[in-house]
Amino acid sequence: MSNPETEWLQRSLQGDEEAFASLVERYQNPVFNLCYRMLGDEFEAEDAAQETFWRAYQHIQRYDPQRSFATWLLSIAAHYCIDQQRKRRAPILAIDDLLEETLPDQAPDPERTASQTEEQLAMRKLLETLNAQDRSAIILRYWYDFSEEEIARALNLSASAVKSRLFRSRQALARQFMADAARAAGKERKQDESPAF
Amino acid sequence: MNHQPFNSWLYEDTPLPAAQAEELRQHLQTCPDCRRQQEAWLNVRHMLRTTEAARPQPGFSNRWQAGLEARRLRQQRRQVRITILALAGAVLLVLLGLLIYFALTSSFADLFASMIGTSTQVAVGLVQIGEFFQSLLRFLPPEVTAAAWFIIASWICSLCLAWVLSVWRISRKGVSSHEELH
Ligand SMILES: [Zn+2]
Repeated sequence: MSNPETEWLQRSLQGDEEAFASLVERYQNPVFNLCYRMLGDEFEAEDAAQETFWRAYQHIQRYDPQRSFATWLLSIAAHYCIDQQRKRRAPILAIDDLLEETLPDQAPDPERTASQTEEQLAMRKLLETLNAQDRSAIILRYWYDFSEEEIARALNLSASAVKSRLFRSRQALARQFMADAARAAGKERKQDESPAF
Repeated sequence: MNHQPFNSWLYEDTPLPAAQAEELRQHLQTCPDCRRQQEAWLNVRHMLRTTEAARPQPGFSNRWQAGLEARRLRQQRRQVRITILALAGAVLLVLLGLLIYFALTSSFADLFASMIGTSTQVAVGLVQIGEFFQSLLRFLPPEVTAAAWFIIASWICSLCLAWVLSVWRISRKGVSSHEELH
């Protein structure tokens, strides 16, 4: 860990807001990317990333300085996104939402970037075939180079559960890839066969 | 054709010992199905490792700092609301408990009679206290009386002030600013 980061962490532990803001600046990209891969939507990813940092800020005392801060942060983000996906599937009216007043939206409506490249879309479609927990395991493994143990710790799973989840997910992703490739090939053939007007 | 254990090895994604790697290579040479799967998985893995990371819109940390204030405010308000609700609930429960207790232990006539009795006793008590103080005042020099009034009045004032201040503080800061969000 580099020196300024250690210092920011120490100051954050003492409640220094500016030091924590430096950590936000430093880790915004990996956290946002994880949320984006998990949720597949830029706006939801922004909210999830902001929420991740808020939770980290509130519970900074629970951070164990012996471990990597990035790992801790990404694990908070993964948990939050998994919860969001579950809520999306089963929309229930939480008592908290009833008590809560609606806040004005803080995100200064980032223009939806039209730069959804083909590559990004293909990736999104592939990840969508996995359930939230499997998806987070795959993302942590291949985007962030987490070991299986780190994933297990981050997602509160046993090492063997992570192993089998990753195995199943690789199979599912490969299958989806083959299906997409077959569909694309079929389309091309059709286009070739159809007479041009 | 028997695809196991070779097909599983494809998806373990861990380096195989040399002997196993050779076995897998031989199986893949003879099995187009497993070969296709291996190719697909390697493609996916490549995509996972090379797809560019998504970035937030510029100004993320500024939005974070602005959001921090709003979140704090919201949390404080919620704490105040919960405290008030809890207090109101407790008072209501006590009243309800008393009501049930009286309803169960005595008839309404008894209740009425005892209410009248108690209030008369309280009234008589108050009158007696008043008389005691009046007789006391008659014996004391006027300066002491004035001083006593002054002390009582300032006590009442400071109590009121303390009460107003604590209500104001709770409504501004919440009960505790580091309470967890649930
Ligand atoms: Zn085979």
